[in-house]
Amino acid sequence: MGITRREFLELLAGGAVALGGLRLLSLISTHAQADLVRPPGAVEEAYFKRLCVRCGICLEVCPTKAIVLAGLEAHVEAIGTPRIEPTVGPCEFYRGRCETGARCAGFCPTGALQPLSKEEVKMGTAEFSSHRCLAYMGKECIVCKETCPVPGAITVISDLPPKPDFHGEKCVGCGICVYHCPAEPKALTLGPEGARRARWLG
Amino acid sequence: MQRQVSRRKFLKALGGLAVAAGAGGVLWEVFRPKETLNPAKPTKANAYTQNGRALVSIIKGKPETDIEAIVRRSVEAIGGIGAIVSAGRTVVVKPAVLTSDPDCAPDPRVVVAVVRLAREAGGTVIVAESSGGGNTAYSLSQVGITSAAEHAGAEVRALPSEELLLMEVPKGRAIQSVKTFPTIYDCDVLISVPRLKRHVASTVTMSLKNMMGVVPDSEKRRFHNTDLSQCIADLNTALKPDLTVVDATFAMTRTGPTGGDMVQMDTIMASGDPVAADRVTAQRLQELEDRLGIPSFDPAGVRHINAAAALGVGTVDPSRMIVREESIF
Amino acid sequence: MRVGRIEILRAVTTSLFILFFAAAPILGIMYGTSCALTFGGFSLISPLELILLITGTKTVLLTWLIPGLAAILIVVFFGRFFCGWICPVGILFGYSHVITQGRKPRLAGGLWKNRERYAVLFAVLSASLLFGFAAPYLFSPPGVVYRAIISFTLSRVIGTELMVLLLFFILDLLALQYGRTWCNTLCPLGTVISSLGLVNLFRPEVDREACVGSDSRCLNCWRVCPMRIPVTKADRWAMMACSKCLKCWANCPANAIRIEVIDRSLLRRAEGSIL
Repeated sequence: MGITRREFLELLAGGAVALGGLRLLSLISTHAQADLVRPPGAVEEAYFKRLCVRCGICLEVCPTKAIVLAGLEAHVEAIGTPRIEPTVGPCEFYRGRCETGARCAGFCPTGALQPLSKEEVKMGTAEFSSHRCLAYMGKECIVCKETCPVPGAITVISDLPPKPDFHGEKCVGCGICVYHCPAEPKALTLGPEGARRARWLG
Repeated sequence: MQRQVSRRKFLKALGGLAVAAGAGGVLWEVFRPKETLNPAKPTKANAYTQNGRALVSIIKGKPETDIEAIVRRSVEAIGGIGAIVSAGRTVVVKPAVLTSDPDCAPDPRVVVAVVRLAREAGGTVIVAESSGGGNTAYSLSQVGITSAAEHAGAEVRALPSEELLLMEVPKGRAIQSVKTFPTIYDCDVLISVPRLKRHVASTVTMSLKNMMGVVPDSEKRRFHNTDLSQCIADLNTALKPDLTVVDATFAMTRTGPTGGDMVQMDTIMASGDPVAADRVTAQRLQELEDRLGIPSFDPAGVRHINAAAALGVGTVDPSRMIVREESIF
Repeated sequence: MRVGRIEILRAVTTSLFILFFAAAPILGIMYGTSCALTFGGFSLISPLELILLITGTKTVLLTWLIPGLAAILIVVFFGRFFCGWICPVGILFGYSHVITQGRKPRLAGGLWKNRERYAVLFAVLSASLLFGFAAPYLFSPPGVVYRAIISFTLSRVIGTELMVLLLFFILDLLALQYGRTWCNTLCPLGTVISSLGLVNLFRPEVDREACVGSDSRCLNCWRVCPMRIPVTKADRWAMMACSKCLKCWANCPANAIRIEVIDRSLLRRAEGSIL
């Protein structure tokens, strides 16, 4: 089956148009640059979005169901990539749930998630809204401090009733406090500030 | 040639499926089991009294040598397990497990001692818990309770996997009903096994607060949103432990329920009155902290203990208690 | 339009694969989707994803090569069976026309020929190489469908995959008229798989004596082939696009098509080189 010159030129033109469209899409995508809270051991974002093949293995192996696949929360290129969603499940890697290393990083087939030690991991920081906190409303609740696995990340202000005080520099961004916060709406969310990403050594 | 399905038949089949699905949906709505409000369990009087006064035992010993002997003595000293367990009874032993940290939970050997006592009296023992700090099955196994209890002949149940059951709380001030689990609702005997700990929000956590573990996480959230101390008291009017065995071999001081300083006390305390048990153990904890120079608390000022006493769950009045203190070495 | 027994069988196997991908992680026997999967210690990375990894990061890692080459090897030997028996979107596109009255999809010829897909693949790979934008990660249909399934069964969350699924339904309107046009002209995964099926086991072979095509212009096999292969005059390169759907075999009025395990000419060539 031969190909005529006209057909060949048509193909080239079509390819160029498609390439242009993709370039436009990628520009729009990087313009809306909101960061996501990535699973422990994620490499820097520029490489992460190229390394992650959106296979969903990390979501499947997480023992606490802390990982969901992103939708449009950030930008187009992040669709299908994993992020920590503490309202679905807390990441208990720091607490020791994953025994010999984060399961997500252990199973990642491409290296988008690298194995890290507990001391190195910081996925983000918990963000506190005191106006939603039950303790600040005069109720007895300090579940965040009770469940936080990091010594000193949440301390208690002695008061009637006692109130939590958050120290973001110690927070590892695991989302356990967010998961357990009983307030509706929750007084805690997990944000990507301060996240430490792994180095991509490829 | 192959057998072929005509388009008409195919669409008819599709239509039939849709009608069947719709009919099924309607039938389901009509006949599905609606949420019934189950009556409260009948309240049982304290089985461990003498002349109308609640017995509380405080037994000190050498846990490294024989922790089981201390536990057995603590129950004997108030009247023995036979007062509440007889042949064929279902006994739920409820340890207080918060996270996978063993310091936050009772010593598995204490749980095993209670399991053995109940089994010797002829009971069928279930060790059950709904942990507020993470996956219950995981935490139970990490603190060593699952394997130890199963080895001792008990069935270990992580309650969150069960269907919920709505129960009346007729004496409740903050709550009038509560969701619990069939294992708890159907059992004959409930034994509470907490560790003696301080608590940042409720000052201390012992037997009364341990009952938070017989309700699901959604109810725990509701309690925090309503009024935690009153809800604990209300809960204990409807689901009161028949026997409390407090693990005070090591007590968590200064702060809790996590991250406190573990101090050796070598003591087990038992009572049929959870309010009396809580008040007495709180007093002992406060005395310990005073001795060690740790900023302590007023044992008479713990809200949930007082609220429970006000609702008649038990007594905080020393004249209505008999405290039996012994050392076995 | 009538639905054949083979088509029903294919719909059933596709559904079984979906069930398997949903149940396997819960049972702990296999994790992943069509993009990459792992079972036991053994992993597979889809050929398209492997190429995108290389173009996107401009490196090649051994940890990718082994699972990637394993998948490529499967495709080299078994050809484009994924498109015929596993890809859920392909099955959807193949049979949307069943619902419409009397409209046969245009297959051979039609709006586009089969070469556009190379232009699309070229654009997609260039985008990955030049500015790191790997478009197929976003919309590769089997990946999207499987991600939506595992997301729903494990996290009870469906996310944006739902939006992309809606996009497929829109594309499906194209398929009402044009059958598997997406598969033949746009799908980068389909293009990559088609280009790799060199050994191509289980391919249709035409018995020249039994075939009535050249005399009476039957050409039924051309008409029913969803991959737009001119079956009676396809050389082995054109036959690499075969998705093993068995429609040509099932619809030949002269029973002139049989499914051969291995290409006879390949066997002869192998014999020749040994002797």
